[in-house]
Amino acid sequence: MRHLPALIIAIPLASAWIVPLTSLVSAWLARLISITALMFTTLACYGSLKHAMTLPGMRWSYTFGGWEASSHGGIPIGIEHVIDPVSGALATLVAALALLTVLYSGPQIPLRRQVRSGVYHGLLLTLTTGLLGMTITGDLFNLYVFLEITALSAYALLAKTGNRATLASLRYILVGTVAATFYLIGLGHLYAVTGTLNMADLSVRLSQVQDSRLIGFALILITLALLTKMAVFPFHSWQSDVYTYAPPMVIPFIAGTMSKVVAYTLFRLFYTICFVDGSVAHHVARQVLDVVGVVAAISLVAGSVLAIAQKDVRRMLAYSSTSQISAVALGLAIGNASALIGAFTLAANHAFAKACLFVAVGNFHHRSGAQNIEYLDRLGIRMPLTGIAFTIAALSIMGLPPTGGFFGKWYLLSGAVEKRAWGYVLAIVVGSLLSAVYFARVIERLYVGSFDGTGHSPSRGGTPRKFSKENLPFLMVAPMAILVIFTILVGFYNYDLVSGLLQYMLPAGVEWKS
Amino acid sequence: MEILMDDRPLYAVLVSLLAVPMIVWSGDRENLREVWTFAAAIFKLALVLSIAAVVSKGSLVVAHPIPLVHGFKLELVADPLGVIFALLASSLWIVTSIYSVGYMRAGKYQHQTGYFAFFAICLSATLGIAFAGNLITFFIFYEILTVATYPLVIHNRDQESVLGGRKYLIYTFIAGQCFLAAIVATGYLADGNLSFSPGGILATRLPGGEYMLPGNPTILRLVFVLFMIGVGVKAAIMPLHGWLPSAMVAPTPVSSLLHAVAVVKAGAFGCLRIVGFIYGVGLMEELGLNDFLAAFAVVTIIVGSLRALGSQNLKQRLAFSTVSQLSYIVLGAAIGSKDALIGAIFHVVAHGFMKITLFFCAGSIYTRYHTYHIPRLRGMGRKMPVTFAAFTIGACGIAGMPLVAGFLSKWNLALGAIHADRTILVAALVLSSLLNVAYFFPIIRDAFLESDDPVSFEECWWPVWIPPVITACCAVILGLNPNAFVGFFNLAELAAHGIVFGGG
Repeated sequence: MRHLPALIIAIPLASAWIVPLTSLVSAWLARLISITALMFTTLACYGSLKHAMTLPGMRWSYTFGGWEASSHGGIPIGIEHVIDPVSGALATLVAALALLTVLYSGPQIPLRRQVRSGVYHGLLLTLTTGLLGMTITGDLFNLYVFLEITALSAYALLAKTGNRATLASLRYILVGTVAATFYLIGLGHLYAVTGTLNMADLSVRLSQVQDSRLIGFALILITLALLTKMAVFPFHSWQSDVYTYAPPMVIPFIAGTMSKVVAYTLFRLFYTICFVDGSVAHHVARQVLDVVGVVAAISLVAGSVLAIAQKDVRRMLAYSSTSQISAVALGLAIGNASALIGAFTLAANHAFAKACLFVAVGNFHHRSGAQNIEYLDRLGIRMPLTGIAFTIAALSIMGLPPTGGFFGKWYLLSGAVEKRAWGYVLAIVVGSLLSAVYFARVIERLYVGSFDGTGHSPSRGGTPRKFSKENLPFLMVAPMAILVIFTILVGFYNYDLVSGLLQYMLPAGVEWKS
Repeated sequence: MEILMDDRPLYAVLVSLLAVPMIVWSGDRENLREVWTFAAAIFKLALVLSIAAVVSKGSLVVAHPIPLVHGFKLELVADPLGVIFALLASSLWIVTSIYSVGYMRAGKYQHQTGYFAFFAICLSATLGIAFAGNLITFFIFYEILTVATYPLVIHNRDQESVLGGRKYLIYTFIAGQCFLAAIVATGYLADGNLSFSPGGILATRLPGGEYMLPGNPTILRLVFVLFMIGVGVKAAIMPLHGWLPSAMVAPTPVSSLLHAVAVVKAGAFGCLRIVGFIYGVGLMEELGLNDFLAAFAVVTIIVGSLRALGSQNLKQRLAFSTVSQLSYIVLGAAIGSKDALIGAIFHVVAHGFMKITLFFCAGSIYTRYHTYHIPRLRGMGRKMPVTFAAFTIGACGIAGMPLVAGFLSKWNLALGAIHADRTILVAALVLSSLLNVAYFFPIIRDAFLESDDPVSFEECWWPVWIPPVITACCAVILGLNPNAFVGFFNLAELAAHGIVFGGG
């Protein structure tokens, strides 16, 4: 299949149009189409990844219509998709999580008045298209287009539950648009000095540019935009409301993938484009990245502190995401082999574990209406599977052995120590201790309940419904089970993951020590 | 040293983990459920015994390593020190399981399935710690032990136990993170080597007797402090001991096996590993760390005993006694001469048998009379003669009386202190023994002599009073013949020899 990289975008994009139209005729058929489309997308991503790994240099460049994308063949007007271990693996992850989310949301859509099945599936497919596009594109401007596609569909999806969700989404629009504009301005500067937007091409041309102030300005703008989109402290404020009030069925996907894709863009910007040995751009980028490291280290701790202060589980998980994505950013900023592997492991682990946590929280909410921590009393005993899934995923985020989170933390710490960055070591250690605090509190609630006998203390979030006797639908349990199994596998087969995939993600010039 | 590649250490770790699904599966059929525990316990002991037979002849049993992270493997190595700890834990697990059945059923406790399941996980983790061949393997099992013990601490699900559980988690998680940071730093300092090797890995000794340090001595000292926080919380070195008395809210079998043997000894054992197999006694002396560690140990020994004296709750008193006794092991590691190390390593075993006896007795009194309050024990010796006889033997052992195992460890510790020119430490040992007498003997005197009742037999059912008799007998047999059973003393000598004179 020569055209697999094109299909990765084409399938979800086409079905995003077909599905809402079909739903006018049959909601059931529309759902079937979206599930099938995402299955094929996942297979296309996986197939491209497999094929790319067999190619020399493990890089599969696909140019649309055969138009040359880089400038050594003339004017660079072609559109290029690049599949390499990083983008292929991330695309597979995104598509698979989208599939699980569509399955998971099936039983919940009819329960929500404001959510119409056709529109919901259409938007979810558009969102998937955007994220996949950002992942596999080889062109910074196409990346911007896909970034906007992602953002627009996310705004619409997240506002679906009305009132607070709409307000939260509006705030997200304002912040997100500013960020996107920053990105565009930065990109404009880069284009002005190099005359190209293709990443590979840009990398070559940028290495010849001597104007460090201009490169610095562009990089700072783009980095700011990306950090905002990743919700790194102090640019995180839009995220918590969105995660708290948005429809619970879509959050596992958004929390699991969106920040990873943006972090991936950060990785591309620095490691693919700027890091050409001896160039001015390299020097400037290294300085910007050092600042990113400091910000990430602060954010790693601050996110955890904020998470501890929360009463609402989903809000707590949102701040936890801030902390975790900062750990990924910190790994990228440290930049040696161990730290990068740590960042990749943590990103993969967080994608599965955080999605699993949001699914579990959605399931608790589904049966009891509970969203505040104090309403979760003994739900882990009444819903044993969900309780176990939550606990395992939480242990993984906390980084306790033998979960994937531990190995990610291990590589990250090794990287920090190799760089003799003791402040980072401290931040990682403190951040993971604090994450133990906020998760242990929830787990204690889930299994022991409020032991002081005062029972529920009402606070915002409303009184939960009476505990529903009906068991969870199969489609709400199965995705959770799959996610938790993957969370466990990332830990148990970590070595195979690292030696079989992650080590090929290391950019050129970054080698394992010894 | 001969090396035998054999996966028995791995099987010994896994056997109780495999019992967990079976225990959960047969949760509502009590007798069947307990069969799995006993089957796993007996299998485990048999495996460890077969390993011990090989190791006591001077070879190592090494499981095939499993790659874990870049550059490091999951290594399970049975060396003399590890075998001693593994033997202790796996043999006491059988006795404790009998006692658990008796205690939990007599007390009509809830959640017994979860109790036995987590107990089995704890034992797997303990064996993993015992056989860990490098620091990262050690850490993984160390953290699993932390997590698996937590549900046992909060078993009663009341306010006291939840608060005790929180305290336990706070102490152990902070310690775990310090430990992890220290391990990563060691991996860097020792250039990617984290394997335990007798005599240490951090420094190489030059022919002139000088040590070639891998880094700045200040950093080495800092890393050592992080290590000691990591293991010191579980070993309850003051001021890191606060969780242990609070964790006494757990059911008594948990206190007996985990908070007198497995968990706390994992800390003390970790201390021996760090001192003997990572830093090495020579480097400790070079950096002045042994005096630093000895100071903490001595303070803990004395203050722990004083706190025990001040407590009127039997389990609390035993907990503080544990705090104090554990630091004998730390002290032995700090002194670092061969005799002191023999004493310290033998104390792991001796204290295990003696303290578990005492806890068993406390639990059987509680099962019968629902009290831990010491003044209420007056005259009970005449009603529960077997229990109090066992208690007396255990107390004599802790106080270091000859003919019971505790005497041998103290004797060797004192000998080691004198050989290492630290006679002052002998005074601390003597003072501690006197305090031991002071906090145990009034209980025994009151129980037997402060009553005119005729001697009667009002013990609970047999699974509650037989286990302390067994362990008390073991303590006496070890006191008479320290090489009884599998040659504990020989193994201790082998381990100490390795630490002092290097692997060779």
